[in-house]
Amino acid sequence: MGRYIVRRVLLMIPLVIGISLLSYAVIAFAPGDPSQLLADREQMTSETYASLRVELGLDDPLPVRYVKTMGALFTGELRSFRTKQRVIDAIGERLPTTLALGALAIIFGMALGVAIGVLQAVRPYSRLDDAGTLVSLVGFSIPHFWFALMLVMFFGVRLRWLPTSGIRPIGSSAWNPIEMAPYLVMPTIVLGTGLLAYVARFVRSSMLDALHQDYIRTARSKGLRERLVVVRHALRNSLLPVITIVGFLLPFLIGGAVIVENIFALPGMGRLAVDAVFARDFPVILTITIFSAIAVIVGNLIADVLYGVADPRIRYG
Amino acid sequence: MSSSSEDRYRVRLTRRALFRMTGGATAFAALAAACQPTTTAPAASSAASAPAASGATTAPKAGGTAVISLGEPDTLGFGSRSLTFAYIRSFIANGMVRLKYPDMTVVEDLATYTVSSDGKTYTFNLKKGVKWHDGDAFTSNDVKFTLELYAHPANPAPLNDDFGNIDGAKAFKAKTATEITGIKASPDQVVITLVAPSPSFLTSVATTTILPAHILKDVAPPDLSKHAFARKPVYTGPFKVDEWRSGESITYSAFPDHFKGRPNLDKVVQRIFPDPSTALAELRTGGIQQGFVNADQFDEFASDQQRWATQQLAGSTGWFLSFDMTSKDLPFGEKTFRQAVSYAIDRNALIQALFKGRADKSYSLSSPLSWVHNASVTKYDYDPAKAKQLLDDLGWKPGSDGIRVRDGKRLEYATMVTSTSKDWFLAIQPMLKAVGIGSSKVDTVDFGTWISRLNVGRYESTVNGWGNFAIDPRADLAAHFRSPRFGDATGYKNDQVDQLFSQASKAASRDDEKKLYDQLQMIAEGDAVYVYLFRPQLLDVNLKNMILPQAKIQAEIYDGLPRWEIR
Repeated sequence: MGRYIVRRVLLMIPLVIGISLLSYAVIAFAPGDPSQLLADREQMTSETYASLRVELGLDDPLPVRYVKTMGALFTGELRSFRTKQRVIDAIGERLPTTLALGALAIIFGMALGVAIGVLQAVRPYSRLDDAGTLVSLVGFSIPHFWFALMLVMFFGVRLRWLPTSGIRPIGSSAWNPIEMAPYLVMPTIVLGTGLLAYVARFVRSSMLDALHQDYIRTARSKGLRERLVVVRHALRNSLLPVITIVGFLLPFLIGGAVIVENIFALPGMGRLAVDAVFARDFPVILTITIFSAIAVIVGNLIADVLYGVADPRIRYG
Repeated sequence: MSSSSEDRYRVRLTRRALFRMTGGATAFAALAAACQPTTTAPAASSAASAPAASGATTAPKAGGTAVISLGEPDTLGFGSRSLTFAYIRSFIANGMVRLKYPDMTVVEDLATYTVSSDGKTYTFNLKKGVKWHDGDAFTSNDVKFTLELYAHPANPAPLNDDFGNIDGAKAFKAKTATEITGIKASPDQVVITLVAPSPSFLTSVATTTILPAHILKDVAPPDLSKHAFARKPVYTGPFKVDEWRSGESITYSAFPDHFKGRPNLDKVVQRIFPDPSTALAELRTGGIQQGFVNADQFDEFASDQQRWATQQLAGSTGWFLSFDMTSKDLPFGEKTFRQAVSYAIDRNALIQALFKGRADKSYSLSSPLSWVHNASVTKYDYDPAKAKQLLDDLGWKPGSDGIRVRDGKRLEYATMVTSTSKDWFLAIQPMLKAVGIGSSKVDTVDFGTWISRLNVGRYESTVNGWGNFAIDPRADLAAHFRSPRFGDATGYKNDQVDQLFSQASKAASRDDEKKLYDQLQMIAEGDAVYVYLFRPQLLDVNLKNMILPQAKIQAEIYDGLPRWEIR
């Protein structure tokens, strides 16, 4: 498997270069001029405008700009147009929030999704199954921003059970899980619900497959309790494909984080990305795009590897 | 549209329909009535406290933390270009002089000043006992250091006209001198000599934040923005920056050694909200204690006087329709046409429908509160009959569907809008249609695209918003009416106006300058360059126990932060 991983990692290099080229082109050709967004127009003169373009390196030919930007990116010296902060530092500040949110959403979505999926598969076509299908369907179709605002309105504004935004109480600047927990409940539910729906559908169908396998009949016929049959024999085997979809769901989580972080005012990467897009802050947009792309590629690789770990029958050639 | 970035941070709601649901969720309220907690405001005790204006009658109470909502600046150090920083600057930093709000005239700050009779020598007498946030004493070296930074040969930004006007600044920039000879610093005094008298010089000094030489003197100018100072600066203002958490908050604490005395509050926390609906929810639940809301939400707060204090401030942004007058296919270059459009707009109806009456009609570019404003410029108010008459006179005759036609060409054009102005234009559209002006396309773009297209030849018409209270009001006028100008959106050029601009820039006294600006606005506004619409008011809401100074504009709210008080 070692050789397989090495080959996959090497294949990532041209893939990342391709992605960087494509993202750079998309950003460079998008309408909007970053230098015009940096200063108010009434303060801008032709001279200040020209000096800004030189400062941002926007007057260089496109290939030169690309090479310079990528060079700066990989030496860590790429700086935001707007704040002049190192992009890598800006991401470093924001990443823990997004990772924490993503991890919580995955735990929430997986735990509930597997539970719902299993319950549905055990009693297929029952009322319980229909209810599960409804939950999944609603969970999958509900727009993040609407769901988030409804939760805020009900649990935040009306009931006042949970803080409506932010990540920690005012005055605190530490990573204290007890202090932060109430702030992350609603964001986790919003981001995790889509995941939950997806996982539940997946588990249901793969459980239904597993429950009709010969080894299940064998397990039952040797007098094993139904509970053990379901959990130990069927669930274990049907979780296999679920592991892989978590890898594929990374982009989904990144996309969702953009909206959730904006509505709940969480200082994460998704917000950084949105602000950067509005400000046409090319270095930040590019870094986040490439960073997310690598995360997705690595996520897929990990999923593939885990697949082999979970199922010894799979051979990597 | 400098204000548009500000709009993004203001508590205003674009998903209006959605929030009508939230606001109208009284059904939920009934449902949740049992669980309704007590409000965070001490209702009984705050009922006794006086409204905003009368804070002066009793000794102010010290202490407390105010949590407010404000956008995220680009930097807190040298070279910020954001309006948000201009607000923050007013309570953390000082200039030698400062702008007085709302009329934007110049008053003393770190120094008192005198001007010689020829208008070329400015003597700044520095106040004594001024300290930097780190305890070091403020000196005239700091002033010299700061001003030289703007003319520094290694500073990539070009020298602006006002600082280039300091005697010797150009030589310093060109490296033919090692210092600016026109700046003489003695222990208590800074004397600045200009090449030519310039009435705008003091305004430029007022918008220049004095920097600490003892911290920054060895930093190369291009590296200043990368220095730690950019995120945790040291200034002389009433509050000092404790911590800036990106995307989350900036915390300030009172600077006890401030030369004008300690501010009342102990701390100020500025929370940063990307979405206005989030800030609104926080305001409702007490997560922030002060914020700005839009007209749809204002009544909810204004009607609950037990809990909230409110102020209606003049809008800093005036909105207007702007046209590419260089267009060959469309009649935008014809003054009579623009007048006709202006006559077609029922501003009262717009203000009622869009802002529940909480906006003011607008007839000119300059804010009525600013000292440059000329109130007697020609007003083209609602008169649809006159609009039709003028269009008839121009040869535009109503076609079969009501849209006017001239020489076989229909009178219709595209309008570029942003998410902020889209609803507004949709309300304007039928008014134009009523006089026979059609709309071929409503093109919704984001701000970045909008500003890059706002140049002659790149759009047909747009809804434009302009004005802020952080910069020189002269610059506002020049950016629209003086030619040549950067990013020309209209193609407007009037030699007489240009001549008045250059006369005004050399005026010997403020009175002379004002007369020239009055004259200049009479001509430019008489040319109906723009079709002015309205100035939406800024609606301040804060918890009742928080006493804010009475303000006319938003900038005063932040400028007055040292006088805020929690009772």
